[in-house]
Amino acid sequence: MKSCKNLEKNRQKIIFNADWTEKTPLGKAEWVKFFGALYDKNDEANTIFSKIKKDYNDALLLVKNIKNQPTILAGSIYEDQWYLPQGDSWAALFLKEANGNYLWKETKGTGSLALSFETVLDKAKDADFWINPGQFTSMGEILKTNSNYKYFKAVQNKNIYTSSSKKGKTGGVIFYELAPNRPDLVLKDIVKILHPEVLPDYELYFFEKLK
Amino acid sequence: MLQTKKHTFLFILLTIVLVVLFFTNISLGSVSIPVKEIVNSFLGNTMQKDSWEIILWNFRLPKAFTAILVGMALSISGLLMQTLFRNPLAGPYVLGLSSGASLGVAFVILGAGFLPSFLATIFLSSYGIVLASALGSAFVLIAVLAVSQKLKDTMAILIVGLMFGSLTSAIVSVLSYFSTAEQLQKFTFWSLGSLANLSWNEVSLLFIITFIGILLSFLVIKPLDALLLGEKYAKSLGVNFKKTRYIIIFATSILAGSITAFVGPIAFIGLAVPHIAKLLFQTSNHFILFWSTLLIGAIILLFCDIISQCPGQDITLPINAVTSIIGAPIVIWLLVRKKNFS
Repeated sequence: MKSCKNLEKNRQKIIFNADWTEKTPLGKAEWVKFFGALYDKNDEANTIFSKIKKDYNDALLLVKNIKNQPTILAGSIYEDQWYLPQGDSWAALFLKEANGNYLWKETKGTGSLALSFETVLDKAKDADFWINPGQFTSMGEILKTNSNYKYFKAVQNKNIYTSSSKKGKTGGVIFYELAPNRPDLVLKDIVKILHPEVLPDYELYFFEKLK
Repeated sequence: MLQTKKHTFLFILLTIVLVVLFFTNISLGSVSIPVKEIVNSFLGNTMQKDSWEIILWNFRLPKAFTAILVGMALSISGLLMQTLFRNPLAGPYVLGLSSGASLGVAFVILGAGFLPSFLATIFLSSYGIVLASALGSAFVLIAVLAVSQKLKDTMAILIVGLMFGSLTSAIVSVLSYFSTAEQLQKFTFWSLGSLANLSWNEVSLLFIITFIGILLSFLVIKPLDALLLGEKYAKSLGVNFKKTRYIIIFATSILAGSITAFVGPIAFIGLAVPHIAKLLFQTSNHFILFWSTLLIGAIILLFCDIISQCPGQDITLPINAVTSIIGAPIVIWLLVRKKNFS
């Protein structure tokens, strides 16, 4: 706040941007309207958001009646602890919206869980998918880091997807740069991963299968 | 005669405790596996759940063996150092080995940006940390050995070791000053130690190295008894002092250095265990102290590992914190008792 006062003293105008406090994917994306208002492009912003909202809801409809919910594991081991997103986190929410069964969906909170290897193996050994295995971007890297990963079914079947390998022109990870603004693409990606039959022609935008 | 009987009794007791703790260690963990199932698995039957089998054979057993090896190696090096320096507060790291290791690891984790790219690829691979840590210890070892050639006084080696420790920790501070939060976290986690990430291959390698180190220590048992009476007295008894000192330093270095490389710096075990052995056995005979230190070291680390696994809970505690929490009160208690401690 001190620095804000300094800025005000020097006759700078201050606006707080609180988009990061939004809890829902569409809520975050809706902040495009805020920036639209700032740049006097209200109509354009509204059109962009309506399109995102429609695509998002369309994707939800695609999976609404699918009975089979694939089981999902996430995160990775970091020095003895397996870090996974908590049940109310942004990441877990997408998995739920895409009609997946994230194995730790019941946990409370929006941060991350730190569990022992034993606990995770016991619960997720037969999980169908492993989504976002931390920093790993290749199968080889996973097995080299900890040979105990090989016991997971998702590893044996190579059903591992990550959003941290696709980089933009300037070298940043696209997911971190764009995902909050394009929940429609994130959701479609996860729908495509979990239920490929409903989006046969869609190409993954943020995610990539580990090789 | 009475003494021998008491020692035999203690050895049998400690062996039983070790075996019991070993089985307790592998049957307790975050996931509760019924003891019946574990016994079943040892008898060659399949267990109720696949995941239990993996947890038992590929996670808990290598971890238990690692704990035993680490406990033995560090305790023996502690004993060697305490006798060599005739200082009850000496430990396996008194020569600056762990500081050397942490310097190596700090260069890899915190200073990766400064490394030339071909070195960076080597050190950032999966064995990078082990390699860096081993090189760091080796660097300090060579430095200490080179200096000890010049020094007649054993105490001077102790001080040189401490100086190396301060020097390396200062460099580590400078590196951490310029590091990101993520790098610092990684380095801190390394310094907290971990027994759990070793595969069977790594455990076998650790076994071979530990075996060589312990064998070397076994060779100097007799001269160690003489050393207790002082260097000059030992020399008058015909001990080749320079050679003995060399073997002691070398054995400690490969023991403490390789342990630090694989599991990180584990505190207090090496300092506290030889004292427990001396108090329990009431002897300064190194033949007895050698075996009792090995046994007690294994027992204490197995016990610390059980606590760090927090049986029945989803979380684990860092092993280095647990050994210090158990080790520190022992050291304080020893200091308080020091007036009747020779």
